[in-house]
Amino acid sequence: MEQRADKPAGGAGVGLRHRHLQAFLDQRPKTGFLEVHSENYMSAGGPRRRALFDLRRDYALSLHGVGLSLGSAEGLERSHLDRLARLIADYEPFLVSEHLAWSVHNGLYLNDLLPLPYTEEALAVVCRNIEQTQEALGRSILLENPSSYLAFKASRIPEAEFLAAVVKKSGCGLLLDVNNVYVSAVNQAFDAHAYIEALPADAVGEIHLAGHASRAIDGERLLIDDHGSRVADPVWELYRFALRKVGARPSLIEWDSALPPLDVLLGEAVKADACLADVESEVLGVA
Amino acid sequence: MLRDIQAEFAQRLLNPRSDREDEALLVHLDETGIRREERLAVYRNNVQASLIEVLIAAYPVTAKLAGDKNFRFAASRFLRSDPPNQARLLAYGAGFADWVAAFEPAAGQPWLAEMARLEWARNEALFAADGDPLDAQILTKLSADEIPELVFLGHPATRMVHASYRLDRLWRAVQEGETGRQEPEAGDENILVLRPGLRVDQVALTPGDAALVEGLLAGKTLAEAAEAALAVEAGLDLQSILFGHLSRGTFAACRRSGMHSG
Repeated sequence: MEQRADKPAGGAGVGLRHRHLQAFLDQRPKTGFLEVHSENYMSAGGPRRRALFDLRRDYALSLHGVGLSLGSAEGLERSHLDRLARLIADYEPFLVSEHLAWSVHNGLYLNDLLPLPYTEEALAVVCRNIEQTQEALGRSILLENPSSYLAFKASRIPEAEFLAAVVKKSGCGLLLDVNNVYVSAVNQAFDAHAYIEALPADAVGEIHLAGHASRAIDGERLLIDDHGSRVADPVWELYRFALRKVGARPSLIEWDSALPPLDVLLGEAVKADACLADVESEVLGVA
Repeated sequence: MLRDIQAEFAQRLLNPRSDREDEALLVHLDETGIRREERLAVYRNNVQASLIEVLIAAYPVTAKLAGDKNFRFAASRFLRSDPPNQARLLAYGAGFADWVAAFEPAAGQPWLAEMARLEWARNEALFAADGDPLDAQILTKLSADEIPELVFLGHPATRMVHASYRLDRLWRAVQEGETGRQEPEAGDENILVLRPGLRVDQVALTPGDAALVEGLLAGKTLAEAAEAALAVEAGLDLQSILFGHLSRGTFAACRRSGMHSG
């Protein structure tokens, strides 16, 4: 068997995108861990899969799915779940995560993380799909809170409570995306700090950070979760707040559109490292 | 019911904005703050714009030849008629070449559909299973009467593309950023796409060479494929052509006809 990095090296990690693959292969820069979108590696073979095998020797890996569609009322696509299981067997990630969202209906894949009404029905659907996933994979997954641009009239359960209920019923963990909390809080006028306080802190297994864009519509501000810039200041503030609430957790910078040079991305991870170091020293100080 | 809301989303998000047709969906949405039509528009744009980017990434040369604006228009129509049926988007867009061939606004540039076919073959080769190419040494261990009876197995990445334009030169020119006349010459061309290692490569074959490769990929013996190749192109140097394919990695294995793989 090939030697592999099994645990994160310490410090924040970064999302690995195709345009940075070669730089990673050539330079092996220091970073906590790598995370990829699972679907991008669901091929029979090819250079991209080879490169990830190669990087796996030096970096712990997190597999972050965008296409399982845990919120689909019609249930999961077995073929996708099987592919995910094979990918996990191939790459042995230390984390596997998905989203509180849906993207598949009647065999159609919509390529976005679409919102759910927070109802008892949706809660049952999400729990059933997560249980099926965890059984098929033989491990628990982390569920990420979505960024959202709209809400449903039918919603009866606040999102943080919904997530807490899913954790309790399905036994999954949480991937707390603080940028998503911030974006949704602005778009739907709720209190981001109260949201984080309402989550079960012990369940949080990873934290995401990313940049967002702002659009003015009818004189009001709508934030778009485009992962296309540096992490915004209020999101750093919310991150430090979350770290004090849940403790130090594997943290990751996501950057997808307008991808910067690798050193800019790694620089954001270094900023997260400083926040992680602060919370760790605070904990030591208390002890 | 959640299923009904999801059916409504799936139906509407691939289509253009229409406040009237979106109404069945809009009635489910909260009315606080920014208008719900604008909120829904964010998701519609995410779905459509991201799929257009997926198609541009799969068909970069076709996109350059068509022009960015034209390609985006075509892609926005294509994704409505042939939306993804799975989350594995590296396999999305297989039907694009056929669709472009029937797309009226592109009728004046029939090579665009052919270029798209070539690019899809390259895309398939990129993600195909890995495998070691057949080692030419194996032929030296066989006797002269065994060789004609050989059948060959194509490498998992090997693809053949037939075109009625000279695409290979144009593809390379666009790759190298060459500008100027962006129209290929008319004329039949057979392009072999292959990926013996990590790099996708392509080579234009002579008609006889193409007939040989096609025959072998179809499971003919070397003798049968050679006969077909010579019928297309008399005087073909079959030995050097075959060794050419062995060195570039067109095939993964060979065995004597009627025998199991060796």
